[in-house]
Amino acid sequence: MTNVLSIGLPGVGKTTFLAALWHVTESQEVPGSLRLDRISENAKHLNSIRNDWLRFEKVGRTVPGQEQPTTLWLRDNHGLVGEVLFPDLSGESFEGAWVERHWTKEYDQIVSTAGSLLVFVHPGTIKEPYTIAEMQRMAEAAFPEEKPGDEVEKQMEEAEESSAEGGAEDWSPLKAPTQVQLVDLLQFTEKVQKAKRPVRVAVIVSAWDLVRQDYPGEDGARNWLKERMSYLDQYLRSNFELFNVRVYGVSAQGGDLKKDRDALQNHIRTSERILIEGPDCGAHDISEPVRWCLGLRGEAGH
Amino acid sequence: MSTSPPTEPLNPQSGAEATATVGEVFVNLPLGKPLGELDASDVLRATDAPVVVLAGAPKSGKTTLLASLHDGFQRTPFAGYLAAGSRTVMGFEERCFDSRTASGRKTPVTQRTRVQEGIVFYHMKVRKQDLLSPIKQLLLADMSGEHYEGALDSATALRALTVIPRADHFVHLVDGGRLASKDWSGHTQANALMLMRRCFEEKMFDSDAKVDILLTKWDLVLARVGEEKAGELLRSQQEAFRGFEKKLGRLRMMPIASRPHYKSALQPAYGLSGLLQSWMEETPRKSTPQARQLPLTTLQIPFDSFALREAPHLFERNSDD
Repeated sequence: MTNVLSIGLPGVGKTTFLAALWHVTESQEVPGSLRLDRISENAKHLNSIRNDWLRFEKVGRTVPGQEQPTTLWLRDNHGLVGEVLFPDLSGESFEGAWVERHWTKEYDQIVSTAGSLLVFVHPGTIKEPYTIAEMQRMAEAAFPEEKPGDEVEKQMEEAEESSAEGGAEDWSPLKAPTQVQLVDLLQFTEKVQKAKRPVRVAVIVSAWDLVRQDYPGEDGARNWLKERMSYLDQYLRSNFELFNVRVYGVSAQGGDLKKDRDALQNHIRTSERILIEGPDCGAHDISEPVRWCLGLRGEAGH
Repeated sequence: MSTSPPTEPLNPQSGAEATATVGEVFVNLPLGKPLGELDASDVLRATDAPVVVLAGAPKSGKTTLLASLHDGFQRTPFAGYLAAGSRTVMGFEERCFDSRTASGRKTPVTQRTRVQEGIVFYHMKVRKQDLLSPIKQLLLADMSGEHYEGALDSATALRALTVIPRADHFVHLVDGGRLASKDWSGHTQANALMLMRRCFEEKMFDSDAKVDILLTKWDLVLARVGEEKAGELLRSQQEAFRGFEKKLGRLRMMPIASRPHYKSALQPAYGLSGLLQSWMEETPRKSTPQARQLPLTTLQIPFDSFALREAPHLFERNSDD
């Protein structure tokens, strides 16, 4: 059995992706997509999240302790692909691993047997690495403040001396930038994962409808990653012996469930609300990143 | 599956690289904190990572330099390199935090290295942007300003800093802001020169040692004395340190501003790009690997006795043995 492991911090759309994937493969509404060969023994979790998705509701998130293995028997145009395990692990568990520096043995086992990785990021929830100086420079550029030289010098000296400051928060690993947390999580997998290198990685930029206008085309999601999560992008590119990466922009819901509800409901086939952009992507085919992970596409990654 | 915290303390290991299994349920992961000497030795044994030792008086800008190197990669590649990972991500992040907006501060600061932390090592992996050469690693040794002051006052304290002779690059940070201050100039220069003299007297530098004197906070220097006088200050410092040049493999002096004030015309990480390139690209100095000695455990098999007799230097021994 192949194990495609989804990695991501809380609220990045891992479960929504799985719900839409289940629907697309089972309904066979999208021409050329991977298809379900047969329904797995236990489909309760998949059916539950798919029902949320079909009713245009927010798909219930996976919470720690209630994670369950999910398998799909898949086939493509050439025949049976096989049983694929999608461990639906909670974002809190990944966040906990970054903060606490441990994970369960069960978790360790899942990571060690993962054959490929789906790495999820959400443009609306990333913690940016903004520095105070960067913000000050931006403010200065927008609203230049004329000050005599000696006053600037005094300001610099005060900045040199400042250490205690009211309102300052204490350090916590949870406040680290998202891209840094993800790089360290990937470093954990690097140590544990037994799969042959390079491992195929599909980076899923979820809620793609939020940013796709600014990042058009097949390389849009890749450009977004390069620009907005440069540290993660650099890590993946520089470790090409370890990771073979493709980047996809995916909106499994297709838009905002409140604002765009009418438009989303107007599609004849529910799968048509899915947005996906990236290498070799057919319209609405959310199975394409999985196809990449399973080695059903050529070698060329990033 | 649950990741709720166990009742017994996890990660009891001191080193950042500890990954032992704890109890029946949890598996420890690397701590990501700055490395101690043993973990740093492991990196050195496994790679040809150059060791860069950062030394300077309290608040001379050592930790800010470290944090700025890590921050340099957050938005774009830096100095022609891509970030390729680090064993001390958590340590870097902790150092960067007080200069980030997430800290809720209005003015960026850097938490100083505490003397209790001893000498700690930060680890970086980078790869050239063209991806044509292998990943390279770097160890940055950070010591508290109190170590620096201790070394000025006591030759014994200096000799205890055994990382200095091992350094591929000894980086001596001199507070430029203080050099440009009438109150502090004499004191700052005298101490900086004295440390160099002490290092020579105690034979801390070999003839091929590479020393970088960094005049830090150059933005403050420019604001205090202007461009012309800043140039004069740089030249006067070069002159003051010139005497050491012949005894070393290389002595460089350059102004830097790791985190220039937002009113300064200097770019963030001013001067650090060239430094990082030279640290990464120059061949590390040849050094004799220091083998870790084996514990002198109860001798159980004949080979133990043989090994102890034939290679006693491999085993830990008490001084009165």
